[in-house]
Amino acid sequence: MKKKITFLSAFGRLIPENGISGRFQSGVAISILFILTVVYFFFFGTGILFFHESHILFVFSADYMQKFIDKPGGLLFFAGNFLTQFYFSPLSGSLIISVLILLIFKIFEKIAVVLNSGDRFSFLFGLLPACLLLLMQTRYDFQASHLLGFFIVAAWFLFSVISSNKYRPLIVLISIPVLYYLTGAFVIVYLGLSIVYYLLYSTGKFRYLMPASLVIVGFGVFFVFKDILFLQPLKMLLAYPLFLNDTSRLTFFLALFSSLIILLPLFTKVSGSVLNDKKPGWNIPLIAMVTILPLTILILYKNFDPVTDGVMKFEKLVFKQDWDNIIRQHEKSQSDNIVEQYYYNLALSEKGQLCNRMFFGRQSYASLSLSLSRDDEQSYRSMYFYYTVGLTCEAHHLAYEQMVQHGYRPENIKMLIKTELINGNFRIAERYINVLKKTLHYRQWAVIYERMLFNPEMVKSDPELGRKMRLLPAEDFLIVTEDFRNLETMLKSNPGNRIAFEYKLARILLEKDLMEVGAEVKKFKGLGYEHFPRHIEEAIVSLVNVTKEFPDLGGLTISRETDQRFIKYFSDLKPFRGDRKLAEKGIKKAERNTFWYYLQFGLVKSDYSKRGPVDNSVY
Amino acid sequence: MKFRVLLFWIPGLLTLLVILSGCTGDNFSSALPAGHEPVIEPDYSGVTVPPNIAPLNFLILEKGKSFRIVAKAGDNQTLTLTSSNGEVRFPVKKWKELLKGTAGGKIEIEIIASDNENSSLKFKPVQINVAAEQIDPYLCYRLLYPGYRSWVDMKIVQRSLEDFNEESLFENQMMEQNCVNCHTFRQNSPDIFLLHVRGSKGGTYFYDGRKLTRTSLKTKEMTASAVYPSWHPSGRFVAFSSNKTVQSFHMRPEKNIEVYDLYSSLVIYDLQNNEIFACPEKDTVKYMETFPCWSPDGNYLYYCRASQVKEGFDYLQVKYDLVRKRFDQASGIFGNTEIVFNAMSVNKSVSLPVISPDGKYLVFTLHDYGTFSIWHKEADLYLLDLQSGETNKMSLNSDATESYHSWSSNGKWLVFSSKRGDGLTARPYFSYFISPDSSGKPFVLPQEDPTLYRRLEKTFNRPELITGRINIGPRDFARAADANPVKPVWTVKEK
Repeated sequence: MKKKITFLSAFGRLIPENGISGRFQSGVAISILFILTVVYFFFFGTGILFFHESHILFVFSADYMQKFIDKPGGLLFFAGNFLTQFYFSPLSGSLIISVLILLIFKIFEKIAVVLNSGDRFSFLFGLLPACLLLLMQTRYDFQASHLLGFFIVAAWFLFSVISSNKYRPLIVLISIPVLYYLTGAFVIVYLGLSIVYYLLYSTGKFRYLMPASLVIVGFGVFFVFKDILFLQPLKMLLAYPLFLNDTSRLTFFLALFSSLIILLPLFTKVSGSVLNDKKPGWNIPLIAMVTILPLTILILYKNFDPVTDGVMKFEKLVFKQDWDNIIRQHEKSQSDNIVEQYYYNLALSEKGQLCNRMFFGRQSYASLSLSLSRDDEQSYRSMYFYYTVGLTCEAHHLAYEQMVQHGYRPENIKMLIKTELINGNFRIAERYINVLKKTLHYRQWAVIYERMLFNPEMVKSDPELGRKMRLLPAEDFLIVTEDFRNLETMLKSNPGNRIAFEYKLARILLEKDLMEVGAEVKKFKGLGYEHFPRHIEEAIVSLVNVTKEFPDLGGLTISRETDQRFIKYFSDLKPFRGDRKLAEKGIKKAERNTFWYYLQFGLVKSDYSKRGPVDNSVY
Repeated sequence: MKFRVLLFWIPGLLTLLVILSGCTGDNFSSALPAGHEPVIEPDYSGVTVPPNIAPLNFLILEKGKSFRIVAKAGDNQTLTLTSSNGEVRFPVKKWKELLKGTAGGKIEIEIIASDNENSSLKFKPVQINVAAEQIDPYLCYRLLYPGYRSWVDMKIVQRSLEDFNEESLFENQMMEQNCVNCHTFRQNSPDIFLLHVRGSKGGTYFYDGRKLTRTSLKTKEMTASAVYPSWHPSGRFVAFSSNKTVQSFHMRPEKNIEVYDLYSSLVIYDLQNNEIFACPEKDTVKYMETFPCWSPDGNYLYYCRASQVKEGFDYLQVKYDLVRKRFDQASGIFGNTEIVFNAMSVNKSVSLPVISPDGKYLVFTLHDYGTFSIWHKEADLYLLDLQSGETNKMSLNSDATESYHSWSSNGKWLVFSSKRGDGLTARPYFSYFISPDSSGKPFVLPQEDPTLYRRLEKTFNRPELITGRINIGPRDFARAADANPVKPVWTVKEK
């Protein structure tokens, strides 16, 4: 009889006959952890990788490096940025994070072995920090420099405990200034870890001499750095780049994690001397593996934020100018997020489809989803609106502010290049192009635009830049806080700007202002339209239905198809007999994609992005 | 044994290789005349420089795989360099030797470009005039991004003009990232100056050569903070204007930013008595007053004024005239206002008046309207002869913005901000003042790395010449910021 192979029996074969050895378990855990990290970041964490990659621009130049060398920890941040540039690809990004986490796992495991916790507990002391770092890495504010910082601290501590060199204590003390300069505030973790280690593990004169020396050297180096070498404030010298943001919850997690690392020698001491003897029968590695790993997976699952992830995916498409995909995805997912709706409207506008298609997607913020706030938080998004409608100078302004506030980012520098080329400022554009040419992923992009330098005709003939040049206002004006007023002024200055005109009409539609639509429709023909966009026709039909008379259509007509659709829409509503809730749910999908449906059921949500007018009076 | 042999031979062979690689067949001697001067950046051709200037390093923008540069000065003083990438960097020590004894003479820079095959071109020498008078040895300026509202890093730098040494006087990361501005020296002295810090560490920081004092000049009688200071030559008074300023952004590429005042008035701070008082205006018309500047004898206060704007005003119609008031130093009382230059009559606007140390000339910036000339492409420097009253546009101007300017302590040099490089970032240019109608061709502040201006995104703001090194730095400001600010008392002077 053929023996049936079950999952359990197959798993059983993997286990060595003499039980599960520590090495075997470590191998299994490493494999699971590696696969888990790669899978998570490749499939679910792409938004995080994209966020990080799009928020830095690593430039291969001495000028760029110079920005990091003036403070302790700057080089760690620099190295973190170097790694972050590889997050451009989800595969390389997830591999980098996985490898670093695995290395940290192995180093801590080794430290625990060296600190005499035995095979049983060393596995736990490797796995726990690795999983905690994996969980922290899923936060958008956890940087590659954090991973690197903990890696360096752990690796150097491991070296300082396994080295048999008789000058080891001296090397440890001498390394403090170097480690401080390289890793900044991470040196505090190293000092704490070393002090606890010497107090608990050292014997003889070194037991108290080394902790005292570490404290003295630590303070000495700190004061030399503060008062002589670096022009940095106290907070920067004590926190950077471990704690980057006071208000973030990550700061708390990092402080907690650092404390656990510092107390590691205490844990290994307790586990090595007490627990090993008391519970000899327990298979600690197996318990650790079957509890920590599933718990990690559970927290990863629970903490996954599909809304932010969705925004990141949309943002990525915006950066690629993949307008069709944005339209397709939003119409499919119908997200309720204002940023996604904003990008959807932007994509439609770039394709000249705003008033033709905007109700095929969700519009739940009225005109607020047409342009976002210009504050620091949103300006890297809102600049696209100004670029799209031809207010190139404002797009430049926002991109420039972003560069000043946050340094180079791929999108702010690309926007600066495009707007400077449109504005004819070739020498300034050349400066930014030269920066972008020294990057790994944006070099090719820069080379294309480099050809346009000092060649206004080529800029004019470029499909994108040429189109934007034609949208520019003919006469100067000063931008104001309210974008509807900016569009009005823009249209007075360049009445042929169809993109701005459709944005204006979109606002009117979203505000359900039928009379205003009626007043504007006569302009369409003059702007070169051969027929009204679909939603405009729907609005005109609604208007006529209310006022019983046609507005001045300026020579265009309403299509018969729209009339028929309108009749059908209302005949389809009849069965619901005025039950609004039933009608809202029961109406066919095709009829939801209409202005009529929005007019009837569209609810406007409050806005989170616009907090008030921008204060320009800073001088 | 084998190791020892390798240890000996490898460095030897490498040295030989390096020597041989240098012998690429020098064809500089057989160079053909190019018939024109080489294009170099920065443009130092025909400029007039002081005899104590730092090396004029430059970039050769001519084709060539190697270049030979021979700088000649005086009798038999030569300095020869070669460059493979067109970057020319003169060693500071040798440059100083070259300049010895050239005051009032010339430096000639001869450049030969070779393509390392058989052809080479010898360009006409670049002529540089060396003035007889030295320039003050230090330049102090603010370094910041030239745009819009935001800033993160901002610093005030003192740079030696005799070499490339550069030190920070102030770095804002030491002061909670606050804005710093308006560094102003009393008669080019590095020992008596002030600057403003805004925000949490706010105040006007006065340095008297020994002590740095944080002072809060804003009293309840003043509607806005004090800006645009000018030291009275006695060192007892400082004139400020108190301005409510706003900015807006243009939507056509020709202009960028519009900065304008909603109101402004003049105040005087008396350091001796720790008092602050207004500079009264007897006219019934309400004016906006700004950019005060004392005459070197201390008897007049020059400033710019325009009619007070009203709600809904057209910023294009705001024009400032140059006026002055007599000042009695003993009583602190001002006389009547006299118009010095009626800019409105020529449909222009005046800003930034600065008087030469001998009191004979006044240089101001003239632009189409408003007060913030750095964002006005048309802004140019004009020289007013205070004896004859004659005004002339200075020959040092370019098509781009010329704005802030200051005199050297000997009155022979003028430093000014110009955006002639790229239209966006201001660089400090120096011009030799020969006579009211003649000045030397200006040159940009020399840099050790001649490609720096191509890459540097930051702008040089408010360049001020000083007679020596300032002996305090950013840490001193951080310490001074911890003290409670001195608060002056508002007083009313008798008419």
